[in-house]
Amino acid sequence: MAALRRRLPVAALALVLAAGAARAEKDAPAAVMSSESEHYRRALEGFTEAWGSTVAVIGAGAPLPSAAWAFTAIGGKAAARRWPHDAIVVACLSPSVSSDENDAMTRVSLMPEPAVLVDRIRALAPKLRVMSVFWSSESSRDDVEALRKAGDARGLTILSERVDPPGLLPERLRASQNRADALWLMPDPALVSAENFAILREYAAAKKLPFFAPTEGLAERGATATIAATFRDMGGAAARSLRARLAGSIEPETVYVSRVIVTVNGPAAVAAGLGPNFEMADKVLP
Amino acid sequence: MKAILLLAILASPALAADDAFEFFREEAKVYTASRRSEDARRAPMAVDVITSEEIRAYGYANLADILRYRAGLDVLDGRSADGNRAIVSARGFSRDFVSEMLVLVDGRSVYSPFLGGVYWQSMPVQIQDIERVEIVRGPNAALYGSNAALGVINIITRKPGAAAAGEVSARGGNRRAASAAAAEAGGRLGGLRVSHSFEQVLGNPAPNGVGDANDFLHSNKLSVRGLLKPDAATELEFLGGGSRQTQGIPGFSPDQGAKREEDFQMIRAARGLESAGSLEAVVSRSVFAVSAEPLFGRTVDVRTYQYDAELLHRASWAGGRLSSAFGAGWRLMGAYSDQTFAGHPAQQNEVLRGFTHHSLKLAEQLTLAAGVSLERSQVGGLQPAWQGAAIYSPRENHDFRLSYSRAPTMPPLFNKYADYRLSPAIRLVGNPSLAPQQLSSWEAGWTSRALDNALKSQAAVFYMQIKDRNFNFVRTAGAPLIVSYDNRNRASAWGAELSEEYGFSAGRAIFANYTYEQIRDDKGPTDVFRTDLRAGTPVHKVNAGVRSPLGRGFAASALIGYKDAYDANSSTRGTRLAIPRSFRLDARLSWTPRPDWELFLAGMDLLQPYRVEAADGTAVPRRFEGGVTKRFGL
Repeated sequence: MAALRRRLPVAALALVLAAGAARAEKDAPAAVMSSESEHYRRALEGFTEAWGSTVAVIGAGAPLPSAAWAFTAIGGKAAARRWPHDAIVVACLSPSVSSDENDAMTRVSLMPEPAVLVDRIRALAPKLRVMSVFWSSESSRDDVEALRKAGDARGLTILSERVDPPGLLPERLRASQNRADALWLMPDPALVSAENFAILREYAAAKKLPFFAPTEGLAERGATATIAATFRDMGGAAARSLRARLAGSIEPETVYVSRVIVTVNGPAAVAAGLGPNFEMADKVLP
Repeated sequence: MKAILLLAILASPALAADDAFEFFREEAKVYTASRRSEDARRAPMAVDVITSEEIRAYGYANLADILRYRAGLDVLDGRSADGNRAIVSARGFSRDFVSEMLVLVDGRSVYSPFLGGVYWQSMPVQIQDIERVEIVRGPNAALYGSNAALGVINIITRKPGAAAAGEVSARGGNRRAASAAAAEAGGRLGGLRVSHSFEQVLGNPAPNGVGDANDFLHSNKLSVRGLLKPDAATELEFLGGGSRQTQGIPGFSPDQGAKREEDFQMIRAARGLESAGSLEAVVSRSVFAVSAEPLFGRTVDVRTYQYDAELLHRASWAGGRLSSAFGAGWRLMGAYSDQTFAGHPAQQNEVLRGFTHHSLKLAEQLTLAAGVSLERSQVGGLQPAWQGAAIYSPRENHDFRLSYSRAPTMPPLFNKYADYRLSPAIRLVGNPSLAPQQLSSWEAGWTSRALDNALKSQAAVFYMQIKDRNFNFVRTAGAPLIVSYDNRNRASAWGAELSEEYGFSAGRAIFANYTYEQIRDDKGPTDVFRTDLRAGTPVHKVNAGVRSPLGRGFAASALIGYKDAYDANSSTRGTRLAIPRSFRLDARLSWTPRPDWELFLAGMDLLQPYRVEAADGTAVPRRFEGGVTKRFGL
């Protein structure tokens, strides 16, 4: 009996430690991936780096691990799947899935924080007064509204130009011509295609308007500049948001990546009347 | 700090542009689950869209030319019995009055309640105003109501822009002189667009080769479109316009021209709803008057009118998986003619209609669509129309569809109530118990986009059956011969359509299409006017087009079409003409020395000096034209 009494604290401690370990195991998130594509893998790398350890990774169509209740969804297909009612989900790289569709979901925006975006654009084009924002799908509506408010607060008028269906972009451009002195293409999967990008680029070049695009790489294809967060950073933001939610914080429906990278296409920017100095840019393409 | 960021970018190589597009392509698969508007690829029927860019690049001179080289459409140059400059039909059944095809201008029906069909030439639509033309091949009466049986052609005109802009153009050639002007101005709250065009066309050579066929044409058209946007979600529009046309009547002296006047007014209010839907209300009035109807030769005055009111609610449910449209409409249309409705000159038809259409994305790869319309009218009684379709999308950008549709076609007022002495020997008498035609259609189709949407492909096979088809018959032989209308006919049609379109880069594109059509008409040439629909439709048609910039401001385009032999026939004149198989070539060269100036040279029907396409034997000559366009504020 005395021996039992001596061992009781040790057993209790072991029990507490085991319970803690079980809780830690239960809090370990799983990453649900739309596919193995490069862009989603980069977001996963960012997520695991910010989380501090590797996590279970499953495909969008696979059953969820029964022990897990916190998830990051990487890609729209993953975010759009059915989630357990008590799951905590932070989605990134899923621009077509609105957080309205799932109350438990926090969404990492593909677009930089609206105020930051407007500030960066104004730094590139100080004389800018009116900017047309092109979008198509319903899930972009909230981001456009947020951008409009940020623009209003900073003296930049945002003209919402919805292109629905997306094939009507040339007609929409024609109807809105001469209204704005810059163009911004929302990261809207319905609208962003090589075809539509070329139409906007050529229209902007003909009108000598700056054309700002939302994803790194598009400056190389002729956009005046891109103001974008990296997919890796979006994964990192998802990890931080998920950790905060697990710790009991109330996170906003939409979170933004704080680090924004500005890439300027030098010749295109000069042709659009910007520059010639782009000191605020992170990268200037010759 | 900047250096650190730069290092970070270099360490994590920037996403290449192609990767960026790849990401959005992959995400776009999800987008289709939440969109509200119908993508042409996911439509239950075959849909073809002609954009304003194509219209400008190919230099189309009139509405018929825009439709001429499209898959599944038949366009005949010449003079139909009513003096139209062209006959347009879809999926066969080419004849003077294609009453089974619905044509809309900005959603307003321009179908004639008097004789059925559409007056293409006097329609108050101007080429410089057209934003795009949407062609739905096959029945769509569940959405658009009766007469949308063989197809629906929706001509959509430009809304005024937000800044001052305009253009003037003039063109002239060996057969035609024309001018056009358009001006628009506006701001964030809306705008106004006004346009005018004038056209003068010389008469063609007479069918017997002696002199002129007296089918000259003078035409003036005016259009106004006002747009008010009180807030981001609301649009109020006023559209109005008219045309004044004087034309010769073939077979009569030049002083016996016919005059046509057409006017319309339309108000449209649309509002986007918070619940991912929209509400739209439209009211319109259209009037048409002709003095000396060319069909009847001697002086016949006809006035027609049409009043429309329609309410449409579109909604999206279940996270976008279910898209719905609910609508209700009222129409009052009528015709007044002392001569053709002897004793009862005023005839009218009131129509009430309700319809609903839904599209449900049942699974990732399967979408079901269904619609039903119920229409009650004085002419046709209670008429249902419906449509059901399954769209299977096994891979991104590949959609297969199977559909079944049923559409009624109301008999025109003339066929129902006419009492007209065409000549001392022939009297036309309507049949008050004439029933609506019933068209059923089965269709299988495939649409695909590849190479980053640069390559667009479509294929469709269809089988259609028309029950109770209207035809003429001799009610009483002797003098005068009494001709009336009856339903005791049945026709069927089957065919295939293939089309390919490839865009190399902005402004450089090619297209090609092939159409196969066969018609079976039970009564055939026993129809009193010998309308033989079986032989009246070319079995094989092939079209191709290319447009490209040539450098230094030059651009060129060419269109070529092949049509099998067919028998041109007139359902009202009783004439038939064997048309041999033929090729047609149109070409255009333009020069844009500055962005606001364009000069062009164009040739139509370049392969032969004359072409005969229509039953009246009109020989349409080879045409050359040149012109200039100056744009402002572009």
